[in-house]
Amino acid sequence: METISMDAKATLLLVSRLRQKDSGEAAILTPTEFDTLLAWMDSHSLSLSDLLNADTLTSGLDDHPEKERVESLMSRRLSLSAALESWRSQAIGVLCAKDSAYPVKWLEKLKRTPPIVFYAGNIDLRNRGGVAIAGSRNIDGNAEDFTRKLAKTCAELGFQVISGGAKGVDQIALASSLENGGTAIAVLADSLSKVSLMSTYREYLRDGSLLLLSPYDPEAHFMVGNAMARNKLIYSLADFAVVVSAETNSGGTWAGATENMKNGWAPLYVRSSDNSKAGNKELVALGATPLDEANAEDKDYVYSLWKQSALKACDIQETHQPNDQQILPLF
Amino acid sequence: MSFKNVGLQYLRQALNNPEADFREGQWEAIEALVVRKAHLLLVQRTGWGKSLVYFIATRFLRESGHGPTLLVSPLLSLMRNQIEMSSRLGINAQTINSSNSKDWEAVYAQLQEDKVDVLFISPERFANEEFLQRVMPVLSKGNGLFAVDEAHCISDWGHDFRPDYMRIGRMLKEFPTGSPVLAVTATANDRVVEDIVSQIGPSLEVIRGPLHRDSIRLQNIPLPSQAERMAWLSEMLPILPGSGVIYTLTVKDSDRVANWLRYKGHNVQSYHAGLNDHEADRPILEQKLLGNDVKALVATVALGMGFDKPDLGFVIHFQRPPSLVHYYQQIGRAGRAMDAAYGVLLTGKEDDDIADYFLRTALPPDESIIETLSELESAEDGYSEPELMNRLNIRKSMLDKILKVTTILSPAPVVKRDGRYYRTATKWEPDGEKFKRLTELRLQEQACIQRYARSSECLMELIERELNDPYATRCGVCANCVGKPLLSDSPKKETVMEAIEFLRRCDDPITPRKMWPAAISQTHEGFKGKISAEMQANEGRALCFWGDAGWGEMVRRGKLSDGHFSDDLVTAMEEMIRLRWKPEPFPTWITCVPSLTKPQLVPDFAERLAVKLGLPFSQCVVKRMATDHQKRMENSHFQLKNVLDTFEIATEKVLQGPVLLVDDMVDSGWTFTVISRLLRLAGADSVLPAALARVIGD
Repeated sequence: METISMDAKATLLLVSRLRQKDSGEAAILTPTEFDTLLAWMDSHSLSLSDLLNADTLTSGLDDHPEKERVESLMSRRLSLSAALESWRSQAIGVLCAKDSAYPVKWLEKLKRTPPIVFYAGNIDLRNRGGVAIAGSRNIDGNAEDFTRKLAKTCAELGFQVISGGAKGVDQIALASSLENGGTAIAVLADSLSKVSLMSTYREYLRDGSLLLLSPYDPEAHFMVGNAMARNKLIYSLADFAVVVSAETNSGGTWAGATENMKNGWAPLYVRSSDNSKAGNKELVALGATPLDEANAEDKDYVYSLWKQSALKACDIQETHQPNDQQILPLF
Repeated sequence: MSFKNVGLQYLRQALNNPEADFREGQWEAIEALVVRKAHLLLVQRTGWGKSLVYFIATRFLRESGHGPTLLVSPLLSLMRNQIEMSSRLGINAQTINSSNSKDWEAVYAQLQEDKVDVLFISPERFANEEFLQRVMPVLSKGNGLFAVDEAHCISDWGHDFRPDYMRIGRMLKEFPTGSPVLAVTATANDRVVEDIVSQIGPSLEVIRGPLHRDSIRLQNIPLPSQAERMAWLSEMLPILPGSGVIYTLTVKDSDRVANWLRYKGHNVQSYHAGLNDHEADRPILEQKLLGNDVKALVATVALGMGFDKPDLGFVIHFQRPPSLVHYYQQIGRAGRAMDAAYGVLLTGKEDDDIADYFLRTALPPDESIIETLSELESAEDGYSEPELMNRLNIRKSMLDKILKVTTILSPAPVVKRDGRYYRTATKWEPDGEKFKRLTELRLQEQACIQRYARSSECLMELIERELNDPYATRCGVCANCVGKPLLSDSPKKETVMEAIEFLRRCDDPITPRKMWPAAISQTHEGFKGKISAEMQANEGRALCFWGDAGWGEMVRRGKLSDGHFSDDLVTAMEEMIRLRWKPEPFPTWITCVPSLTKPQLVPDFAERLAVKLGLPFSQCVVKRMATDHQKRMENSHFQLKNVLDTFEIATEKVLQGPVLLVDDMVDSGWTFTVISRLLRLAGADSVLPAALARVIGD
């Protein structure tokens, strides 16, 4: 595993609990607060690594409104070194947005990127694109069957499968891709440290066909808000996305799919069949493309979806670039 | 007042001596830590004053608003002089370790209020969740000094490698610059220093001083048999100055030598890890030695690093330590505040065997690691340690070692989570090269101390050279420099004979097993939990230790070359039973453990013993099938499985009354346990196990 950059160390000190339930007196920075601090530092010609130097930290932040909080967070050197040591021994890597191994697609497509990403497995998979497969935890046999077939087809075509790693559609899609020789990325909302120990993933982490990513501390527990917030990280890594089943106006799948359509991260397809959920039909009504259930095993068809999305990607980049450029200089 | 003058004032305050001045290198180290927030490795001899460096640096750092100093040390308790020194400096030093859990809440409270200036912890603390959650957040504030004592433990080339120190080394590597770090050791040769620097990184500055110790007078005396060395100790103790330490390699030797010396009227105590270490015993013994209330402690390495007694008069080694570095570290404790102290190395004929044993068992064998990993690989949701024990033929102590070694690697092939062990995606292959290099190094170290034991050169200079001390010089006071023995090198014949007689009376109790191993009930119904009192053996006796200078040699000869145990052993056993053991109830008949490989050896001995004791002999225990040798069975569970289905009783041959159950060797004790149970089921009202020799592991 690569060494952890000074920028990543400084970022961790500001935004991570560093394996502790309580970060001490000073609360860690939220991603928004972190962005604000970066912007402030930028305007004062300070870099992240300047914060690691005791003297520049003290003098540099003199007129910052939250000087004490930042200083207190930055002083957590012992916790930092203990946490890094522990993550490293669990083969968990850490990247900040400045690191070259940070997922490029997030920087390209998202207005606000996670300051830190933790990972286990093959980090080289991050920029390879693929098919995001989304759906609810509880699904019927048809939906399960569809998910498995679609992921298998992707694997056979060499398309990577990207999912949230949750129970139901997410895990079925991952398993089917991996079992059929494909590669996969799971973007986790919690418990990276625990998931990386699951016996079902072990051989794939070992042979380099799986990447687990999480913007949250590896020890973080499940929180609905975090699960919602990571939807954009899944869609933005993908070339196109397929929704297996969604409830209208409720649940993570609906929220993620509509958010994706609004932001145009990835062309969206929705499973359509006689018995698919009302939510699926609603998504089509909102502009998603229906994908006939019967085509899940049709390689030519799935390949054509990829081709179309590749063409569309050019349009999306053009329409969104001006907007992105206002934000990007921060990183 | 200049910065240095303030420092000097602190030094004088700490030492309670208005004339004191900094030793070479002390101020430089303090300044580097306080001003430059340097990362330092200090290699300085015992007694140079390393603790002054971190105490005075702490005083300065605390004044300028830094957080508390964290000091990682393998010691259990603060040394008296450290406590005195810190209180004179107005520094509040506290400790959190496994032996003072009742004080933890109070220490946490003080930490919360920022009242602790130095916190001592053991390296294992970093693996502890409570420490992580309750202490780290507080300690972590304020960028205090991170200090590591006995830093040579970080290097696996070091003589005293401790897995938990690997974690410390890796933490130091991640430490951002701008925070002061101090690693200290008295015993690191170039190879160890280089290894530490390569692990922690080039930001680590090395300061190394001379290791020479003027006051120690060295002498080596080869005395092959234990009886000779025991005799020598008894004759020399009154001549040796003050009080001191006698080091033995094993716990049994520590007890036996101490018993002998007490029998000869000397005021000594044994000290080892077998003593109850979480309660008072060991600290009380240390206090006795500190206060000169005993002439000597007969100790294993458990009396270890950092034991600090400025007027320690002598350090005698009863057996040869594994390396010269070990030796230097142990004698280095002698005579720090004395004009003359003695360091005597006695060497004996068992030294090589013990060295081989330690070498063999130092690292778990690759096959056992592979077996453990593949068992974990097949687990759905990891295994707890008892679950693993159940599936593996590996001794608990060995499994502990394997789990320690595999979880401490980084990245680790095994991770412990909520009490369960999980195989990770990290690949593991036996590092045959590294194992070979380490084994070769250990053998070289053995050869080196063997050379030392025979050397006619200056002994102190030889040690210093081995430790790569650039200032190595002739000491002028060792037996070789002086040209004649400092202390007599041959004990009187009468004392030696007396020691042999003593050893021959050193029989050892055999404690009956009281519990079945947790896992055995899965294969053998009814063997669960406690062994009921009606099925247990009584306490038994072993006549000697296999191969010792008392009867052990004769037992070995009987079993391995003569195929017959001599009448002397029959008499010795009879005397042990009648004169020393005097079991209650006394046996009314005798039986023995059968063997298919040597069917006559034990029954023949037991029959003669029966005649001697005037009791009937009845061979009522029958062996059904060949068992693997007990010694090859690694853990309790497999040892027991191995014997459980093997024996049966010819009920018609069972006599009335308590029975003496005879065997030649006792190792795990399961054979006695299982046969005792069968005999009791067959109607024997108590069973008294007796063995010729106990096999020693360590």
